[in-house]
Amino acid sequence: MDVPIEKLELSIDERRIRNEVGRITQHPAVSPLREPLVTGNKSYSDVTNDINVIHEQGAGLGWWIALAISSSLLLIGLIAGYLTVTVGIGTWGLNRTVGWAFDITNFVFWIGIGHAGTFISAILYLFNQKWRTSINRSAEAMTLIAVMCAGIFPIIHMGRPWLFYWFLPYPNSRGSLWVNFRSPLLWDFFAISTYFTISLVFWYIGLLPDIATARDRARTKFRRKLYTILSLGWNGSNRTWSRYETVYGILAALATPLVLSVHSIVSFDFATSLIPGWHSTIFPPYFVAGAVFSGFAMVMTLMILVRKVMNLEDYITLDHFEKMCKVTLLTGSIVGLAYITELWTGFYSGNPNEIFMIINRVLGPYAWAYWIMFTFNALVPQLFWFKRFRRSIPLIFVLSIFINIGMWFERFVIIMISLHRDYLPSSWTYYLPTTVEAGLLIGSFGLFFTAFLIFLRLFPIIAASEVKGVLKYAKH
Amino acid sequence: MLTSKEKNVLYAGLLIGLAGVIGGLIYSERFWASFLQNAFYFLSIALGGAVFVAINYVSNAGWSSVLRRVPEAMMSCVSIGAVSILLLFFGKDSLYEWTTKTYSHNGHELVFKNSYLTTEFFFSRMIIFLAIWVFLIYMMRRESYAQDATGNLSHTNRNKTFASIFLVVFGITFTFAVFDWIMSIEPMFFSTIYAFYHIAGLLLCGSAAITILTILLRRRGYLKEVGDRQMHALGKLVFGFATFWAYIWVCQFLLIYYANIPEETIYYVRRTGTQAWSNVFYASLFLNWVIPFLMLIRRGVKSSENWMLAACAVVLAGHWVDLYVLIFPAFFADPMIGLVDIALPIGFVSLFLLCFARNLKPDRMIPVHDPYLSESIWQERTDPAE
Amino acid sequence: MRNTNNELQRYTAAYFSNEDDLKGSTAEARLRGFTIHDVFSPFPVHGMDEAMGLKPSRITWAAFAGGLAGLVTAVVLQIWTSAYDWALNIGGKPFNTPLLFVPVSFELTVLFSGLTSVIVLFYLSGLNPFSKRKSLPGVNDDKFVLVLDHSGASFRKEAADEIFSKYNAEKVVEGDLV
Repeated sequence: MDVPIEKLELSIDERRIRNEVGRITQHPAVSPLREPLVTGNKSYSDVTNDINVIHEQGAGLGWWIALAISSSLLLIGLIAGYLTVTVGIGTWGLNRTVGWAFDITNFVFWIGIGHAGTFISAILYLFNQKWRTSINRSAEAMTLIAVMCAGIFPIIHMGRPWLFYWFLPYPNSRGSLWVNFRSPLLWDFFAISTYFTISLVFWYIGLLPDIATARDRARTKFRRKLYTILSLGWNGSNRTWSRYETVYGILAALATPLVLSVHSIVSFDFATSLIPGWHSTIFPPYFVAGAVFSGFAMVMTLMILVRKVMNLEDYITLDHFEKMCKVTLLTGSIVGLAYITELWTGFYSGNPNEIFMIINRVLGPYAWAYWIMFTFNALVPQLFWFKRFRRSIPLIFVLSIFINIGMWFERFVIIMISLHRDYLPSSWTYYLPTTVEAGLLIGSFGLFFTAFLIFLRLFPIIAASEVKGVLKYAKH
Repeated sequence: MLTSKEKNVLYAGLLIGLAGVIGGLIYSERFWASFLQNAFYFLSIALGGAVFVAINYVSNAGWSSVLRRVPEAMMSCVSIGAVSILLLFFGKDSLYEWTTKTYSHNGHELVFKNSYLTTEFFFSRMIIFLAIWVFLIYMMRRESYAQDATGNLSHTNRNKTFASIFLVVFGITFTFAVFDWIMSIEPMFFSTIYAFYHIAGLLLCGSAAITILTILLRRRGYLKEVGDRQMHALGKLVFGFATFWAYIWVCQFLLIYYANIPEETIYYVRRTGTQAWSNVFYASLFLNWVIPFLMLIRRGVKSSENWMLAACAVVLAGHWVDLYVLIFPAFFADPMIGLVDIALPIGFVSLFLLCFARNLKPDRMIPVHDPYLSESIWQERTDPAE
Repeated sequence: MRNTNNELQRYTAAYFSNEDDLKGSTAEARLRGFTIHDVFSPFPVHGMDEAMGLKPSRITWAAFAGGLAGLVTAVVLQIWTSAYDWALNIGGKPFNTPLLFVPVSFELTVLFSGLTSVIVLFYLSGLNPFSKRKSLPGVNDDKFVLVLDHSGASFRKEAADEIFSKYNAEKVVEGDLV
């Protein structure tokens, strides 16, 4: 600020005020090594336009084609679901020995994918990682959709899914017969309901300012009405922002242990049992690491498609992918360490059932599934040690798909291989999926992509307000 | 760094420790268990410093550069920690029953376990693990000081590579180290999460130690540039790692309790079966999680040095009790604290502090050429100026 | 909005193009004795709470209370149903198994805490689906607005204009608060 010559002699009050203002407006230092998070010299209004134009303009041909494909997959799933509920679980390939296979594999697969969204939203927020701002909205949406896909499977795998409300502990005319609070399957119900609710709330709170922006720009009556209701009267007031930031921090601090607890409880479905290969104390952190691992792979797959088709390369930069690859590498390595630990412990235990379980996994009739799992999960992500792989979009796209295939097979290996040959050799048998089960798996992907495509059309897919907050970061 | 009076106190502590070793070897049946406990604790502090340094390099963290010399000095004590672990060779028959036994079940010999738990293989592994850690830690320290000497960024980049290698190698080697050194005390017990449990404890006591040492150095006039930002971050790390440790604690306990398989539950029966052991077992949970959680949950407290010192001291005591519960119930039907349990920790703490002080260079306490230092030194001015 | 004399309150709004100017002008206005009605921005500006002189929110207490309520609910629910009302022998475990009640207790604590915080946020900030509140033009896009109240004698036009020009205000608007 220029100080006029005649005002050089400042009063004490004036000096105090200037110091206070200087203190309040101070900026944190930023290392010269930091890169800007948004490229292309964007202004605030550029950010608003780039992001909102996507859901405002009419859908392009690409969107319709993608929707056609995903809806067809969804339709297959609906038919398979209809058959399952009306004809029965007999349409599946399950038998007395293998009581769970595709159903619970798909359940754990989808819940796992959902965890990356919360990781990006909540955990990276607590670690003050500003790069999360361009991917967290889509990742959170992905979480909600993935949890919905996941939730279908426990319900549909019950013999009488219309009675699923018996999971709720409500006073009833059966005694009252209460739910079994000591069962991991019941813990699942509480955990996943809580997870879905809190994720939904977190996503919605994050959306509020952006819906207000969309409302201000809305040109059709339908959109204006929709966004007016959904924006709850948001007006950018800092008194509100202040409370908002507090609540956002609280939700992030709650969501972080929630993420750990949900997939740990899912792992308890297996680890509390007596089956070799299931009862293993490492399951909770191993499953959580695996969930973040597969979730990040799916986020990367989706973001590669989104940034290309929606022209968002300036917001979802190569730097973002590098960081996501590093997280993928870290969690993949933890999963690899768990594989090594399980292999070693199986033999060290001296327990003949444990030893057999390991040998059967690695060399038995389903060994091909084990080796797909091991290669794609423990070995493939190690390529991300090399910068070339972390910064090449085509390579990341391929590797992320491999990782998701590998993680699906991990759940399949754990569930099916341990079941098909456990304690009693006379019960040993094989398992083959039926078309209905395959249809449900395909249908879940259909639901996932259909819902995501609809999300793209309705809401801003990048958290514009958060990106504006970091727009000036590291612009040296 | 240390006044001569302080040095004398620490030398006296060393002598007490030495007396404890000699007296313990001759008179105490608890000696080797106590020696393992304290030596491993000491090594964990050193390794905790190394893991902290490595994680901060790999994640390009900006807040921690200003205090990095503290964990670097901690990690440089690893050689002495390694030597004390190697000394366990002389107590192998007291600590590890497999040195004199082979295992079989229903007439079948447990081939893998018997060939894995042999003196030659066990100590070869020990030497390899320790050598790898000493080497990688030496390289990380060397590159860090070289960065300051030359200002050349290549040192930081090379250290990022060393740090990544260290983290991967550490994950694998520390896993098998704890399986060897502590889990094999009860050779028929196994738990796949066991290594994660120890890693959680290492992260927790490492962060607590860094916090305490940083505050103590700041009180001596060094590290004046360390401010509220660093204290808040350290407080959050201790809080987070304590909760993570409690999570692993619950997971192992819940799963073994739930499945109720005798070959596993014997582990917890030993630790909760008698009132005395049960008290110590749950005390460990209180010290490592309940108290630090309550003490560190409020935002404002992390600015209070005394409060942070107290919380971290509770954590360090808790980790000692944790190791006690991990090691001693295998040998003793009753928990006991005797002269050995007092003399050895005094000796090791004195040894650590002398080593730590020697590894600090008072004129190079801030890594002045660290590329992230500008971010680390900046502190938000909170007091209104005059 | 009407003041104690039942007159419509007047306000002066200054529009800025970036958050630094907004923060500086807000801090200076407050320190020089102006009454700040509110400040509007498209994203939360770090340090704005202090510039405005806002006190830290009490919502954290609501979160804590909610969490405690969730914990108590879960513990009472589980112990009463599993150990008292109709105790069933499940796998030979005792009727009261605190360790096995941890998962549900944890989930309900988190659920109640999160929902309570959000409900209190909506209530305190007047956020609801029937709200017809309008935003000042551009505040959800790229404008940063400082709104000064004319209540009492706090508003001095010349001093205000000095602050606005010092921080490069794009435009200044006067009007009545509704």
